[in-house]
Amino acid sequence: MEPHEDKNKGDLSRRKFFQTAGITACALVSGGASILGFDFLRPRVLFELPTKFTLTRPDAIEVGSVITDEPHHVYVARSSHGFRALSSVCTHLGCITRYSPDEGIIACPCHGSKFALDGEVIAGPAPRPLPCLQLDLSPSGLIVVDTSIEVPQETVFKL
Amino acid sequence: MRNDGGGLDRIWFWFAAMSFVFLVVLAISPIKDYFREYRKYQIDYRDQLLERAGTSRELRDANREGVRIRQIWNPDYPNRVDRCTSCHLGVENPGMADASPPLRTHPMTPHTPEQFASFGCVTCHRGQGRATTMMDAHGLASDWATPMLPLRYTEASCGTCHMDEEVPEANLLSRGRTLMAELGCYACHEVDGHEAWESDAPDLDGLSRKTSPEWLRTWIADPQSVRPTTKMPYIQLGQSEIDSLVAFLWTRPAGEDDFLQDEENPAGDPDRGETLFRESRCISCHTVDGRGNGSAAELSGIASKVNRRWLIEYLENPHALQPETKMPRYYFTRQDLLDLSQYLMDELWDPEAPPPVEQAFRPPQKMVEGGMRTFRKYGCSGCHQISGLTDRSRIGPELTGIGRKPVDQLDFGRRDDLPRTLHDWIGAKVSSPRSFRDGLKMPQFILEGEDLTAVITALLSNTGEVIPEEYRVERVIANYDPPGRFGELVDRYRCLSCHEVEGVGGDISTAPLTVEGSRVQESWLKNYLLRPSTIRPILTDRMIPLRMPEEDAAFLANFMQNVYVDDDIPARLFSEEPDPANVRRGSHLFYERYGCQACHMIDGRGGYFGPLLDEAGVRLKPGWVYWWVLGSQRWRDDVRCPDYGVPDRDALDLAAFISSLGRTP
Repeated sequence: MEPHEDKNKGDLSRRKFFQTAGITACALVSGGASILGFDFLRPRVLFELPTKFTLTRPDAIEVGSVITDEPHHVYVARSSHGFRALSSVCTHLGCITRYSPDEGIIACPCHGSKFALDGEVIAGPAPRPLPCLQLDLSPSGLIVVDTSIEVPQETVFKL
Repeated sequence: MRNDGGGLDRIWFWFAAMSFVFLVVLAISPIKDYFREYRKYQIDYRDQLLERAGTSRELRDANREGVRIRQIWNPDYPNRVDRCTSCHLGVENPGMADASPPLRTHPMTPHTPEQFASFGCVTCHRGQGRATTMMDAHGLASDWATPMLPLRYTEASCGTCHMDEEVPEANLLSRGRTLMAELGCYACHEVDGHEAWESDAPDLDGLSRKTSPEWLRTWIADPQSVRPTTKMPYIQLGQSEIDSLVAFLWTRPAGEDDFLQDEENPAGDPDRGETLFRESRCISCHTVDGRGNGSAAELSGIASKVNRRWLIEYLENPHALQPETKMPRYYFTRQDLLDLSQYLMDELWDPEAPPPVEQAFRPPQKMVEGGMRTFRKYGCSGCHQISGLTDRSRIGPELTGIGRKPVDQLDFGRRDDLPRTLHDWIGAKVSSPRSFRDGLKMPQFILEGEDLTAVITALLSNTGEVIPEEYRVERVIANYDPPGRFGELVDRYRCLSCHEVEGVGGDISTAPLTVEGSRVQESWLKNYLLRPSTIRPILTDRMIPLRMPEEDAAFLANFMQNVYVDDDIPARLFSEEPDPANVRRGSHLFYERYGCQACHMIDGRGGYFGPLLDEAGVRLKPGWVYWWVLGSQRWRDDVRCPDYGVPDRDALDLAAFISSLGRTP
């Protein structure tokens, strides 16, 4: 009977092995499938403007002035300390704000929010300051703005 | 129990095996994703950036480069993205100029890398912008209609937006487009934007007065063997077609007597004729045995082509016989005409031409009709006008959009040897058009090497594509129509055959006339028109003495003096005669400081590359000299007089010196 028992034992351990292997593989498959499924739903690229784009030369912006880039919804302001890029999308309900050079502030036409040139809220319903964006210089000496990278509000870039 | 156990075992075994198979199948997708082609290039690019980084910022930027699809989105086109930059990562980075492709910096082009971001890669290079593998993106997959253009034809893409014939910095394309107009492609093929093309081939009426049937036969059989520089192509006609075509041409207009018997014109003096030929500077436009400018017909062999009576009539007034000719009307006297024609008939005959038959040629009517059919069939009327045939319909297929035709729509016929690409097909069509099938009608042009590449480029540029309005650089058709009596004189003397005014006219003369009034003095100009003198000894193509009446010269000089003026050029520089001290200083500057005598000759001393300055004081206005010295490239950007950055005071003194030359104080 010894060999029979042994065989039975061998059968059991083999079954155990197949069980474990099968269930593990199954778990991996379902886990992997859901990860791939989520990954599939997330677009790799969109038909949209690039988040990183070039603007003019830094010296084309005078100290104390602001240029507006309409397609990307971005302001680039130059103060005596340096350059700062701001999103022009209002933090209240997403209207596109406008820069008013006479008052030196950025104002939202929808609900009257007003922002200073460093993005801080001066008045109105806006809950947060305008996001401050990453600024850089391209190899050919043009301003590069990256709207995908937000930087702390007090950041000023010296180009 | 054992059976049960064995069954369960098998089920668990299959469960494990199938799960494992599923796992493997599932893994294919992420593994494929991991081994995407652009991944290795992007990692390589990041490594190279890290290696080259010199500052902490560059290091930070390099570390920020992740693996992702990069693209240029072009919002002006519907749904157009170019993902080429997923592999060609360094195109906009000037620091990657020494890297190996695909990471290398884009070579310098007339457009800056910042501009690439607005029109992408496919606009110039073609291919499939959305693809992310090399085979697909380069359009090498068999079903992609517009594969990448080989680099030697890339200039064709400049022509997608630039509609002009001359596209700046695209020499090959410009040359190809010019060649297409010159060779007369538009005579047979309709192409958008070229409907107004006009042939400069001669009218064919009255050939029986001009030439002989034997010469015509030889000519039509193979024009290029008679005159290698001709624009007329080799039509490849059979002997019977040639005979009937000559018969047809001979009878237009009907009822002309032939001109063999010439009793009106007595013999002239060929020696005086030769002197006249040289004096009249005929080779400023014509060539004799290949020597001369080459803008007009080769004259050797002319005596075997035309008869003397026609030649005399033509020299007397070319415009009466060929209204569209570029040849000016000289005022030759009757004796001049006799002598000049005698010289041409005696000297310039072709020993290989068939001798003219002394008998009048009277072809049968049936042959004439056959000739007319041949004339129509080969579309001769696309280039040549002839009475009785007014329809100038184009016999070739329309070529608009040929530059983007999908390969599977092309008829390769017998040409199994050709690679199945559009540019190879166009090249073969242009260089040996009859090799595709029997019965094709396109004649044989001589197109080789650079010229062939240029024409292929020009054809590839004709995409017929609808491009956004703001990208289009429209074709500017320069138009200048001189007014009134001046216009009549300009037409009679065909000034615009050699000279350029406001972008219109020929380029035989180095001097555009647009600001001639600010440049030269009226009295000098009048004398020059009457008796042209040598200004640039290095040139063989010099101003021709037109023998015009004095009143014509006076009128032309006066008109140009008042109308061809540029207000930027000072009309009067000195209120009176310049100070001799300034003249002396100017002379010193001329010879010692700027070394102008290296190119300019005064009193027989100096170089001969630039114009003679012997009579510059009589010829040029001081204001012009001053303006010229301060920057001659303002006049024409190909002026070779160097811009030394002469200061204002030196320019004044040089003007004073040059204005004193040739004047008796």
